[in-house]
Amino acid sequence: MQPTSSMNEEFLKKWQMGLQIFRPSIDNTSVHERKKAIKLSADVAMASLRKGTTCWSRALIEKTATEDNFLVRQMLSGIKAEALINKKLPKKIVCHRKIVRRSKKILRRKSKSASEEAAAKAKRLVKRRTQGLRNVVPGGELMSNDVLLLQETLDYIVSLQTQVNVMRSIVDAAEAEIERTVCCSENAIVIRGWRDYSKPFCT
Amino acid sequence: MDNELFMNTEFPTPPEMATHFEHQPSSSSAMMLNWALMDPTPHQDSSFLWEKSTEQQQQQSIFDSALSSLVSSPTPSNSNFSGGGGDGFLIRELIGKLGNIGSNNNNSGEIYGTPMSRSASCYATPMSSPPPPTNSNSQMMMNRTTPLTEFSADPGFAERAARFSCFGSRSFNGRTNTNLPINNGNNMVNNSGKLTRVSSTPALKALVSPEVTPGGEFSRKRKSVPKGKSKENPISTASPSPSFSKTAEKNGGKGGSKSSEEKGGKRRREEEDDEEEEGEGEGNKSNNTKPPEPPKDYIHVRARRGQATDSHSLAERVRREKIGERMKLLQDLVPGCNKVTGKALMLDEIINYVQSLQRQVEFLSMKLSSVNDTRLDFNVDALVSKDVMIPSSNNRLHEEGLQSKSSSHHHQQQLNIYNNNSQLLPNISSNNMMLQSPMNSLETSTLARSFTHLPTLTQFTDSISQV
Repeated sequence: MQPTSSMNEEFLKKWQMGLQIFRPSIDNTSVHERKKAIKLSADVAMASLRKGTTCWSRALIEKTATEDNFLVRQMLSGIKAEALINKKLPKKIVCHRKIVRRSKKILRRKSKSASEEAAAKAKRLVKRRTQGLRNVVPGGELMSNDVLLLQETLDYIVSLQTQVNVMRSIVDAAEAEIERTVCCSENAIVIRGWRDYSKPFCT
Repeated sequence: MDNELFMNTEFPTPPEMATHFEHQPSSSSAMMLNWALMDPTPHQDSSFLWEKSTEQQQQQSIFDSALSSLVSSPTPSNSNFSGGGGDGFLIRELIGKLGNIGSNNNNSGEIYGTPMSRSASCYATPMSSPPPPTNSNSQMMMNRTTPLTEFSADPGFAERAARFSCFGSRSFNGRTNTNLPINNGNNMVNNSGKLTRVSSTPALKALVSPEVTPGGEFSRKRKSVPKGKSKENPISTASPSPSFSKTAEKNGGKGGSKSSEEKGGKRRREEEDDEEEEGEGEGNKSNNTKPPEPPKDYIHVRARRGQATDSHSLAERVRREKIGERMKLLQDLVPGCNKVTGKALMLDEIINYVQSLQRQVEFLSMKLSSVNDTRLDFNVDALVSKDVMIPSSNNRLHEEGLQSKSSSHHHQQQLNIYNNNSQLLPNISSNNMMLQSPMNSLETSTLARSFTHLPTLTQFTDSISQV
């Protein structure tokens, strides 16, 4: 499933709303602050599209709420913001590495055949990768089983794709506009009266 | 095919459906959709599911949506079930949600008690939510939401179960068509797939035939059936139970309810071929016994020929299949994964892709912050109209659309854009403009140096989209 245009539009609307809310932190601040605010608003918009149905969206909102609680709440005000932010996430699954390693060593001693070792190695690889995936996907540590993890990853990837699409289109359009306005402004200064006619020339 | 398989999960399909479902196989997907939409109790993800389904291919979306609802729902709400019970719980929920075609709301309390006492595994726990007394909804809806357990107490269940048993055969079909009393006129669509399934299992005809008669004693018998994985049980006096479990599985198990049936390896093969969908269902740990539980909240898995019928291995197998299904979906989503085989490599690709997407977002937000410092509002407003005019769903379309914008084509869009620009220019004084533009160019130039990987990124994404 690829992100559809309606998803893009929804995300854009939510993001616009978020940018309006984040306006004060965007105006007259440094580039880094602006970038942070833009990214934050985009993330919250992306997560709020799911309306709290998926684990990663809740985890993402929690994460953003820790950075800028008030604004995030404002942004989610229409969508049961309190419920979303305060929703209890499942407990983080903590595996004490020492204990796990010891138990694995004990297990390894028992099975020494080649095929078993190969299978065990493959399993280890897969486990390592799934752990990596948990680190990447927001809220991954909270998902108890692999099936859920993969499901959430699917959804997260689609949402990320919409986010990237919309952001890229805005950036490109903004850049094009800047080019246009820059060259147009140059012409406009020279020939103010001919501004409207000069636009086709400068593009 | 998908619909059939999906429908099969609604296991408590009473025989009432038998005659009806033949007439209405096509509405099954619509029914499922309605159910996904209207199911009020579990979560509020139905709206999300609805969105997905309208946008994507309907079958897969319905599938995914139901699965996602099932997958996502239990975790937040039922955190007390942990570990291995997670999957079984999900499947129980799945069965509970899908299978409630049983019209009986009477014996709900009784049913809840039995599985609890019996099985030690998490599968035993019945669904915590009693049937919502939503009589306002359509009958179908109510039937759907009533727990599956109820109809296990149905005196006529044995007959129905027998008829729907996968071990039944064409004779079953004939019987179901003719003899089944049809109480529940609403939930008919689900059985279309089941009947076809039933026809594939001729072996247990003999088994099933005796069970057709004992209607009332069935409920009693199933309680007395000892839990265990002994293969002789079904053949022995516990004959109703295996058929029961089988039928329950049939009705409940997605993609062909399977019970670890010792007989008929061929039958299993056929059943196995049918099951492709994810959410197949966890193996029913107590394979032969506990007929009441299957209708309630179990998805039954049939052991493959030559494989262990251990409950653990069955559950593992189901879980593996589920994971395989999800991996296939991910393969479609992540570009360039078609050639990759194997879980580890696939996961590697997925991790890389997600990381690259996240980096892209960071980079684009940085770019946006540098480019659009004061004109963010204007840009966003103007761009909304642009985006609306150019609906696109992938990068290439976006780029094409934007190129058309920036080039001097005399499209309507171009005129609108020019209008926007002309509106913008008067708003910004020329002095301001002059100040802004050099600043912007400065900033962009400095930032561009740091973002030298921008072209490579776009190339990367382009190549990705091309793959």
